[in-house]
Amino acid sequence: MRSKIADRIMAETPEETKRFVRKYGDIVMRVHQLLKERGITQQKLADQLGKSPSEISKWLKGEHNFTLKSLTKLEAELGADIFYVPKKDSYHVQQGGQFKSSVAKAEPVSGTIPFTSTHRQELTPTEPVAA
Amino acid sequence: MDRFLLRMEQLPGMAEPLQELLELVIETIGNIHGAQDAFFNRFENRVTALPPKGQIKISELELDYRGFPLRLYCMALNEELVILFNGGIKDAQTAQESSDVISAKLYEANGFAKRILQAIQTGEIVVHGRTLTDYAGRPDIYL
Repeated sequence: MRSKIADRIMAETPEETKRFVRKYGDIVMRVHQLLKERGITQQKLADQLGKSPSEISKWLKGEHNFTLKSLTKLEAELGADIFYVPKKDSYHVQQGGQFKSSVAKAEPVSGTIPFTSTHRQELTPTEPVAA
Repeated sequence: MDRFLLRMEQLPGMAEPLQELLELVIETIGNIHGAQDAFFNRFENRVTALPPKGQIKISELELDYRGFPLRLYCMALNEELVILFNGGIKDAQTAQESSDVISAKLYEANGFAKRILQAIQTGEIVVHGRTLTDYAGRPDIYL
């Protein structure tokens, strides 16, 4: 059962906060998905990046506060996209009143997971573009 | 949960973290990704449930970046159903050392978790996907 108090607080939540949390969740899921998919442990990733395991743990938990540099370093090491910058033609596209995430789509992290991404779908020219 | 929300929104500096936490719980976990392990911080405690169900884990929910002040205790029954308990401000290394006595809330959450699990096992509470009802299908549950 949904709390009316929670609903009220969420109705007052600024768009900026909603976007921040949405992207936080997408990145957390995406990084964990990639590690699981590739069978990479935190220790192994630390070795590959020449970092200490505790530093990698902080990275993966977001405590390090991801920078563009650290995210792209992770992307390079994991060999897959974590974060996208949408192209101009899909930049303002809305679907059902929801903003689009520019983070690679994360699938559930159990079992074998095929790589999927949202940006390629976003780039299809048939999509309507909002003014 | 409501007690937690009402208390936190009155405290200076907690309005934004509270909004972030709710967005995480209701939108990110509830509507987008489900209750994946990646979102649950350190399993603070384990409640040994009645056999043969194994263990129920009480988790902490937070946004896992440095300095996030709030903790909300919860129990994920499955990927779609997370029961939210009370929480508070964590301003020390451990729950026990925090000034907001969140260790008491954790203790309380453990008690509720045990009782809920017992009720599920005896059929007093029934899990239907994303919802819980009593044995007769009513949404209001009294334990």
